[in-house]
Amino acid sequence: MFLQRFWGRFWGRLCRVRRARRVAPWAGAALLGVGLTGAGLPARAATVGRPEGATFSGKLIATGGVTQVEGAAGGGLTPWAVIGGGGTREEVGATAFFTAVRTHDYGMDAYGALIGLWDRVELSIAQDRFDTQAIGGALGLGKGYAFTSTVAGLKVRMAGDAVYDQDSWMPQVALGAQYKSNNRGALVKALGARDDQGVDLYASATKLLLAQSLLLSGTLRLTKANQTGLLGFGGGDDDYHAELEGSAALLLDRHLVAGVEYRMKPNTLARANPGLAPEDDWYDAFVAWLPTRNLAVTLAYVNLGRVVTPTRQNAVYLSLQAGF
Amino acid sequence: MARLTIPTLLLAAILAGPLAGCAAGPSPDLYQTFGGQPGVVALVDDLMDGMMRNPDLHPYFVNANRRHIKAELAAQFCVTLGGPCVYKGMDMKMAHARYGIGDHEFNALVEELQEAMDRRGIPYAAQNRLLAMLAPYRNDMVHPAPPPRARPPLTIAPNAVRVPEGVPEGASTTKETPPAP
Ligand code: HEM
Repeated sequence: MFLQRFWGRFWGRLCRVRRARRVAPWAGAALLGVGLTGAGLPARAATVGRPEGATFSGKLIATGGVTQVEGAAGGGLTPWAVIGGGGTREEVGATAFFTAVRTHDYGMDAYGALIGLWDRVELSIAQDRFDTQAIGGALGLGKGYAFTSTVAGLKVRMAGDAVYDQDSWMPQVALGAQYKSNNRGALVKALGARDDQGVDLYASATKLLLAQSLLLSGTLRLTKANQTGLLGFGGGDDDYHAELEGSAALLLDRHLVAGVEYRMKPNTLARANPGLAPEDDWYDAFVAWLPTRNLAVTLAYVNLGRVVTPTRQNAVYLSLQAGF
Repeated sequence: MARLTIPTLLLAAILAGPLAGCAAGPSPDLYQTFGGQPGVVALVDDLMDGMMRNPDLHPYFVNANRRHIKAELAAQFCVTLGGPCVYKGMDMKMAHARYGIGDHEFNALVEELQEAMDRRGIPYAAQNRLLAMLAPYRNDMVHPAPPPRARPPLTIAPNAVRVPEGVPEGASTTKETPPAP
């Protein structure tokens, strides 16, 4: 039964291809005839239809988002339901990013890349390097002691389209997972974390209200990660915590987007280790400039709250993204 | 709680403008922003010139009746914007289903339209209001379901035509049934 249907479809396809082939010379001959009678038409029939070869970068500018710190397409701090890269439903795309975050006490660099498949699936890889600079020395870790977290991400668009479904309230909805692994397992466990690796699961809903030039996005994340995984996973408990994240952005023109973001965080490590300051929620205000469809530059002010020490960390965030 | 005030204020500032200010959908104001009918006709002319220069779109229009498409497009934009016109052209699925139009080509057209609107100095927010009304057409043009083969529904009442006495019920369908043994 199945085989039969498969055959049917296979032959159907083949025949369609054959038919298309047969049309071309026929149309060519007809046009040649018209051409000879002096109608002045082009000598070759223009075939109408999608090009046979692969095309790239068909997405509207900015609709693939920028890249968030863990490597998923989205805003700066939180993932959006959009699939990264410039590929439409018939194309694949890819981007690479580099992000630098500088607070008074710390530095964090992130870099990575993602591929977007047919506007459906996004695979990403990123590495975040958190440099304790002088604080590391003060804590006895050594000046410039760094934690590195490697993140492999998967995101799948489940329903809706953030850009085109302008006649309904339905947002684009995606499910995602981020596997994170920390390179300082012994230290983060000594600090009170339960594990040096973990998986975040999230659901994102993103909607472009085009008539209002407004983009809204919300994410629900299940996570055990301390400071996104840079300080390990779990602590006072080893449970998943549900955290909300959100973005609101205004499209100022075709190349300029400005907005704010908020990201809630669990506070489990400080409950295991009273010597550490509590972990705070993050928020930011950003401006993203997309001069071409291949480039994005994002500048933000980020408030990271307390990170290990009681000082509140205000950061400058600069991110570059290039892709197709 | 105090921590929340700054992001909340920023969020309020971002949401206040768009949600309070401009409405969505057609309106005579929007039509005037586009310069009324002369503005729409000039925009469509400019759009078609742009599309003919665009290698992704050129093949679709080079052998088409561009004068006709422009006239229909102008009427359609006029109606969409809220102007006093009637669109009498084909429905969007009928017009486009037989061309292999992909997301890539649809977006190329949107971008040409954006360029043309930029050239005519139409404000970005007004551009987006038009695009928001055109965006749902993608479902009719790109990877559409095959056009419906069914005839359009009857618009006259079923009892408007009187069937004379003596014509058997369902006469037209009897020829399908096999003869009685
Ligand atoms: C929002 C996007 C679009 C709108 C509003 C639109 C609108 C129209 C209108 C009003 C017509 C005239 C229908 C008639 O003759 O009655 C038309 C025809 C046509 N459109 Fe579009 N169109 C859009 C996108 C596209 C795209 C992306 C392509 C190709 C890449 C395309 C190719 C054509 C062609 C080839 C015709 C001529 C159809 C024929 O006469 O057989 N259109 N379009």
